[in-house]
Amino acid sequence: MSPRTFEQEIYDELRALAAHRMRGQNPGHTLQATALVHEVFEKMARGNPTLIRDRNHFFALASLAMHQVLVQHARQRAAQKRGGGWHRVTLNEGLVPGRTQEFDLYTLHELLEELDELDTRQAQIVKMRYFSGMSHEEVASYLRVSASTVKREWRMARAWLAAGFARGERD
Amino acid sequence: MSSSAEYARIKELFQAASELSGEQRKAFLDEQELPQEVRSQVEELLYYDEEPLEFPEPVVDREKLAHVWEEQAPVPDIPGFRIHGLLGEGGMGEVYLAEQIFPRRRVALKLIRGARFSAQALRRFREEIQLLGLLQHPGITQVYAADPDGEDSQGRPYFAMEYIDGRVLTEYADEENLSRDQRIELLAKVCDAVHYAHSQGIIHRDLKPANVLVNEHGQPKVLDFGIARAVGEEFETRTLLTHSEHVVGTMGYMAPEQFSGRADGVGPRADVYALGVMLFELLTGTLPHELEGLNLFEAGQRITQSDATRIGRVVRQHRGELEVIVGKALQRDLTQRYESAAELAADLRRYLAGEPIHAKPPSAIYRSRKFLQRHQRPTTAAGLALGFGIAASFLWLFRPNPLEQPNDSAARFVSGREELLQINGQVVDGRFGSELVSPGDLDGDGVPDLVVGSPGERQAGAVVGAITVYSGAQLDGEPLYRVFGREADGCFGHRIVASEDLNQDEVPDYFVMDGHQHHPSHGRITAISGVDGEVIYTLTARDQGVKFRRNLCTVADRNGDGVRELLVAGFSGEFPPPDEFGGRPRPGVAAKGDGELIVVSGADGAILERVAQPSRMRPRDRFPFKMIEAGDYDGDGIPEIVVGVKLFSAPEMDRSGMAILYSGAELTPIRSWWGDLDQSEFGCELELLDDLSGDGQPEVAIGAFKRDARGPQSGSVFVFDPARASDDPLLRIDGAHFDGRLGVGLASVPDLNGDGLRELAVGAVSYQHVAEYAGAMFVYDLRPALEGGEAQQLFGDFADHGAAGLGFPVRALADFDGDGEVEFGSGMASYGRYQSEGGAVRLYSTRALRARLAD
Repeated sequence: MSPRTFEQEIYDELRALAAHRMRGQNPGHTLQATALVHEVFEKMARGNPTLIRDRNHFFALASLAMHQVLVQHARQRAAQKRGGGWHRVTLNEGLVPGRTQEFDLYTLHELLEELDELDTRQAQIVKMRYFSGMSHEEVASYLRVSASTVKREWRMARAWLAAGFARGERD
Repeated sequence: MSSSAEYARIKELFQAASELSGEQRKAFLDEQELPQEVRSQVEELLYYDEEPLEFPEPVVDREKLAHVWEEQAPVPDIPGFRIHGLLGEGGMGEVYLAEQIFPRRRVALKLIRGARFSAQALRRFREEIQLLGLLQHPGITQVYAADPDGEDSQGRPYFAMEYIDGRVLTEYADEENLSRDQRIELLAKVCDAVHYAHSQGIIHRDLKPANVLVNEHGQPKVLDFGIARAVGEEFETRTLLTHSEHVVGTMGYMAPEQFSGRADGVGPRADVYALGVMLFELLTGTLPHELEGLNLFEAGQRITQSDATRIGRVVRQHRGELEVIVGKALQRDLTQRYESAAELAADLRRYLAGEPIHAKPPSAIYRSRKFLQRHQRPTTAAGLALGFGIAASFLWLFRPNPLEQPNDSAARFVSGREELLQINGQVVDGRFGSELVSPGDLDGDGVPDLVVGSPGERQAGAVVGAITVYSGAQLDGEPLYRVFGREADGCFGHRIVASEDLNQDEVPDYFVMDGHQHHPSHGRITAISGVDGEVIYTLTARDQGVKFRRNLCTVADRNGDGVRELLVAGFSGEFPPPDEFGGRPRPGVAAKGDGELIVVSGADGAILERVAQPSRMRPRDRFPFKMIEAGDYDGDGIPEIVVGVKLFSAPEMDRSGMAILYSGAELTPIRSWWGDLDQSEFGCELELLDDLSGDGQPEVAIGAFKRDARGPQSGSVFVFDPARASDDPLLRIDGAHFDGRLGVGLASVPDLNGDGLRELAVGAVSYQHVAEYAGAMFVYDLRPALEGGEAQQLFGDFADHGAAGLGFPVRALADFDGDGEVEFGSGMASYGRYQSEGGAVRLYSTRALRARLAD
């Protein structure tokens, strides 16, 4: 099985699991996103032990999974609050202990989708850096490029995303 | 933003501009003449680069996730072994404690991480494992089993070796409170094991305390013998890039000759050196070279250019004979070192027994001779202060197995393939092979010599640049000399042009360029004395009120002094002023000025003529891209000039280019050839060919590679007959879908197939993973194309991934092997944006290629 289909499998698994968990939850419920990811990975690792190549691959997959979980959560909350449809949702529930900073995850998601069309690698780097907290060196090793390349791509992606956020605020 | 191609274009501009500041940035953008929409997008990004998106803490609790991995890390399922747990993870892969099922024993199982082995690397891995299997010594861990193909382990090669329950050499010595004599005896035992392996033809190459474990009986066991080699260089290169700090940590044990990528670089004496370092460390707790806080570049310089600290200076009690022994093991000059680990062990034991040792302190005569040698080398130390980040990488792709190395010193084309010689850059050489030129015989042995440029790369930090000169009679030997640039970011050696004897010493000289129009110098040309690398004169554009682009060629003598002149690409205008606050330039303010051609007197560097480039040629995109002296088509006795021009501002954002034929006498345009829009870099390379049309005048080959950051890279080569009225090419060669940037290098090379027509060597570098290989060099037979068919490939050379950019540049050089035909070669400069930052040069023997084609 190629890594691509494996990733697809993780998405499906996550969707099913998250949907199950969140069914009937009240809107204020704080999603234990990390726990969800862990659960999926434990399951995946047991089922297909050799498909995760190494530690960096694991973190990279986790970043994709986290992204999926959070977006799904945002979508669900929007649906619950406003009776369906896609709306901008600010996620600030204690996903990470001690963090309450407002961060517009949904806009980030939209921008990342757009960036993925324009430059897949930059989008990948952002996901790995942000969702899994991978270091430049880990990302570099996973993508098999130099750390300086990752740094340069990260720099531009951050500028591009900031520009995108600013545009969003003006619109 | 509409497309990924446009985004890639904006990325290129953003990344270039973000390296510049203030005025320079504005000038750079102005010069590009961007459509307003593109320009404003780049400027928006540059603005937000100052205030990029701040992310909150990563979403995932990193610690927890790491914990999940450790708990859930998939245990590889390898038939014949039962895995008990992870012993450790290193740059190379993971090491598991495992149990071999039959015969039942504990083993350390090493899985190589994600290594994609080339066929050659696989063969080497098998050979090495084979040899390692033969090693039987109490001081060496034995290899029990290996799967070089990864057939049983999901494509991950592994080997199983004796499991040692022990402690790292230095820790053992400290924890057991060993006395000085006990420490010396312990190291002598390590020497015994290393010598045994040497006697079996195996060199360790990576000896360090972490690779020597001492078991409970006090027996040291050397791990990983030959593994560095077995696993191969592709892997090393990647490890270097991703774990540079780790590499600096282990550099302290590397012998100076290991910093040269030469075939003969690493022999038993490199291991002797490492043993000397370990002895030093066991006795003092420190290393003989202080490398703390240095980057790779600086650490390499320190080890190769300064003597090891004398051990008596660190610990007074070690003065005298022990200092002599350690000093002899740590000699920089390997011929002065102990010849074998056994000799080192014997001297250590003589010392312990109170017998006279064999090592002698270096004589005063030897020391003074070394001093002289050191100070005769015209290397300036300017490079030392200017290394930031990784300077270069090890690229030992075709290093022959030392066991197989022919003893016949006449066999100069040593390598995996006999028609090919590869010269590897040293650790300090950034982008080695960016330029290669043979100016003639410089060392007076009757054989032309070779000059290779390593301009370094801004982003990688090796930005001073250097040139290295090799003796043509022994291209795989030590360089004759090197010359370093003197100014930061100058990238000395980005262009080298052969000249004639400029300083009347009857040895040909040459020009080296550094800087460019945006550099503080505005570009500089240095005339270098071929015999010793001394500077004959320097022409700094800024001092003359001109700006040089990175391009020049020699042209016929114009001032009657009998010396050919230099034609240099120039930029005649002014950069726009900063806005009223001294900040970013206001959008829409363009640089005023055009390209120009500048004629410089070859003899003394005086500027003779400046000819502005008429604007009706849409000149300012990048004028010129490439220049050559061509044939005398107008019959006035002065050869014409062909200039390639890169066009940035084609409205569709597709890039194309043109080539202009200039009158040699007037420096005015005569005619031009245009590339189609999809020939995106038409004019990127030019080469003069023999007469193909029968009019007695040489033809011009024009390269036109296609650049697409994501899509396939391809390209074409066009051959035009300047004497013909038609604008149609005489012939063209089109690259296949995955040929890389075909046409980026061009060289007319001798007839290889005996049809009486010279062949055309075409480079096709490929910088990203879109092509099958990281570069190629093809030799085409043009005759079929002249007869209505297609040019035929006679020969192709390919560089693997990680092997840097083969195919740029491609140059006809000189007759190195004395058969009367010139050899040709290609640079393989490695670009930091894509791979590592070292590089190499490959040279092809005309005679051997011809013999192979005749088979």
